Amino acid sequence: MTASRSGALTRDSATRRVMKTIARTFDHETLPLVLPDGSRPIVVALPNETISEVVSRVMSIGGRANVAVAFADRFQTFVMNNNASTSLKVIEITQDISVGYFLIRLEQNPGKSMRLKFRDVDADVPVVTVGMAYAA
Amino acid sequence: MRMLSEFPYRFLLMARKSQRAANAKRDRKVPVEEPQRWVLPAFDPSDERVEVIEPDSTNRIIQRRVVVDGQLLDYAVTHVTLIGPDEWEQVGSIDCCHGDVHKHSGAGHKRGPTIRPIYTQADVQSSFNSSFDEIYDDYETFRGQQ
Repeated sequence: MTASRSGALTRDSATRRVMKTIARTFDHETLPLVLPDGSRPIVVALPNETISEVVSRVMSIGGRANVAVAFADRFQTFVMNNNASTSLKVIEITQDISVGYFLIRLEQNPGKSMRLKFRDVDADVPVVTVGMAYAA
Repeated sequence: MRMLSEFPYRFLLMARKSQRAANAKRDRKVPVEEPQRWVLPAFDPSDERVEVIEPDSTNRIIQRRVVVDGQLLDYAVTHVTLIGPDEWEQVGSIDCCHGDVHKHSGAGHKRGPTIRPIYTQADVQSSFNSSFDEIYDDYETFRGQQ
């Protein structure tokens, strides 16, 4: 249940681990996006998925979400808005990339928003990432 | 001569009587009082958290928690499925209100049997993971049948 036969996390097993950790750690900063109704939408992603797949899941859950990228020993979260807002410091990504590489680009550009603009994707990531180890 | 022959019989009767008394004492049931179940104390609405995940585009898992100073006081994990445009119906949920962890199934919120009693706040905290897993297991089965 916790991993595929190859030992890699599946999205289902990653979802379980992320949600259980969030429930036990109670860290406000991990999920900074709160909707007006008080709920925190979460999209769980794996590093080897494409960022366009994640954008489509963010659109499905309402257009804005806390994205949790699940690695084997930890996960990293950032906020994604489907409808990109203007920002002064923006790094534009104009082609589809893996989520793992997207995180590398984020870390290479601290303090700057990322805008994803390619094909029918137009999304931004305005908040810096927060990393967290899984709860035991 | 007669007394000698009666002696073992009397002795046997006395031994049986004393054995019956011992058995009765052993079998006497002392009612064991169940410890008081956990009752959720009053809390500030800002201590309530709700997280929503959408493992696929037609199903959501909603995790509602009451957390005070990092301590989990109450929770409910609910699986809902899309039945129309922006219309979601409950498939199942597990919560720990009324002093026990129990499951509800279907849109009618039918209550199932007690999964485990909740005596302390620590029981609330320690039962969360298994409750989440049970709802997620059910979701995976449900997804397979969709």
